[in-house]
Amino acid sequence: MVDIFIFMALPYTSLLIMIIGSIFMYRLQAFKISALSTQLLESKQLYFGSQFMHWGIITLFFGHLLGFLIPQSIIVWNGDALRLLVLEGTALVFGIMFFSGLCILIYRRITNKKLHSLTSDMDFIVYAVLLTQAISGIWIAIALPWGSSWFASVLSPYLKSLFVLQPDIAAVSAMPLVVKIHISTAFILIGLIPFSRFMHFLVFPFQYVFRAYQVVIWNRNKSTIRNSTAINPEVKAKNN
Amino acid sequence: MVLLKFLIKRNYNYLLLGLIIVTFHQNAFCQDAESIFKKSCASCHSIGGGKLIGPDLQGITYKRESDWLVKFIKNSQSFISSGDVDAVAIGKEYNNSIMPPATISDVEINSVLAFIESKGAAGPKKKKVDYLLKATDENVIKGYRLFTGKDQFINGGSACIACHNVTNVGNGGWLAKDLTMSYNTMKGEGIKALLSSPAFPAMTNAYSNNIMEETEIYNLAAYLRSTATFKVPSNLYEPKSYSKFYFLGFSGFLFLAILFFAGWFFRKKQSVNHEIFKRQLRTEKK
Repeated sequence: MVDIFIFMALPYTSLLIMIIGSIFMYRLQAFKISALSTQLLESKQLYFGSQFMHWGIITLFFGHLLGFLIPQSIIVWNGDALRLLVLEGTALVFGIMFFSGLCILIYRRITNKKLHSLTSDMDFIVYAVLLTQAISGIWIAIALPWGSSWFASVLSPYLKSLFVLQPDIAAVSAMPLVVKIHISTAFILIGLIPFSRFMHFLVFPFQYVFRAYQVVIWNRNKSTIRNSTAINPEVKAKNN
Repeated sequence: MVLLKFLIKRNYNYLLLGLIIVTFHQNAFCQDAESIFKKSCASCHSIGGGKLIGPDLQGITYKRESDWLVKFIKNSQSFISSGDVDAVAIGKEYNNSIMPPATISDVEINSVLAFIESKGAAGPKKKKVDYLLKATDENVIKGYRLFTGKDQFINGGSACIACHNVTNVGNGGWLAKDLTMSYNTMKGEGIKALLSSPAFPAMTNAYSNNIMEETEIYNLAAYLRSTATFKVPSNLYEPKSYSKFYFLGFSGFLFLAILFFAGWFFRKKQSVNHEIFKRQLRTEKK
């Protein structure tokens, strides 16, 4: 019964919430949607956390997508022991990267008080879901090798059965608990998209990777800042 | 025919229609039960073909009550743990091999039992010929190559190594059972039956569209017999490679982390007038 809920009801519910919720948010709340950047408040920890986390999750997302779209090619690729090690090793690299980036971001969010004004409860739900994903994913990679092969041959047919509206949950129900947790949190993540920072998935910020420096114009009195007496009162600058 | 003529004469059309439906339904029901048996039971049981992974089911309905059978088929594990004496004895006889819980309804279970009953009571035991009687080292090597994925299955199924491990293989999977000693419980016929129509849900998903060829099944069974009887040719022993996987994962991460640290070092971190502002502060300190 629990399996029917998690693997049959949850994916469709999440997908519906994602589609209807996103349309609703764009149509009615467009100007209220924001990922609330905190780069101007703290940038060093953000650089490491964000870079690690994003490169990790993007690579892993496309890795999972390939396993779903071309399972036969993945099975053939994994036929050679070295190629299998390269694929699984690469997945582990980005898994660890995603996990460590996420840890940095959570640490930053909790310890840096400046960020608290831009933090909502939903952010912590998002962190909890992502952290569960990261830990269960690394656990699977290490404790249940070789995920790339059995995902392609066992779970890919399950995902396909969802898309053709004939869900076959027999195989996924027989999976170990950690795999079930990994799959179910992925579905929850899809359902959270319209109501959290995940909304930025839908605007495809590809240009972030290649974009030029952004011109930031400060809305404050520059002359006050230029005047060094504001920093060292009573002492006048000698070079201008 | 007399009944048919009577029904037509009296214009009992609905009754006639009902009779036709029931007749066709009975035929469909028979075919259905047989296909259910082939799909869900034949991988471990035969009807009159002898013991495979589980017992030969010919005459089982004469031996046990139908309620008892339905309970056992629905969830043998919970039935055994409930303490039923016969169920516990059967569990022990078959080394507590797990029979997966049935994914079919009570009606379908009963139809399968009726199908088994239609095959008659158990006859005298036939002498069995060993399935792997003529297996050679060549079959073992071919089986090993299929197991590890060095050779592809003709119909494109995933290599066994994705989920299973055996001792001589360098990087076996850990998702499903270790198959090193599987031959001892299943024997050649059991392995053949299981691989011909896999009953375990994960295997069904993996191989339902990529059925293994008979020669492939034979070679795999030969290989699994060699692992259980410690007769694997010495050139098939591989060093374990899990440590390489962990090393690759963690060293790869460290390498990328260093790249990102270098990225931070070369990153433009301050605004363009930062230097001017800094120069002013330096002057003041003098």
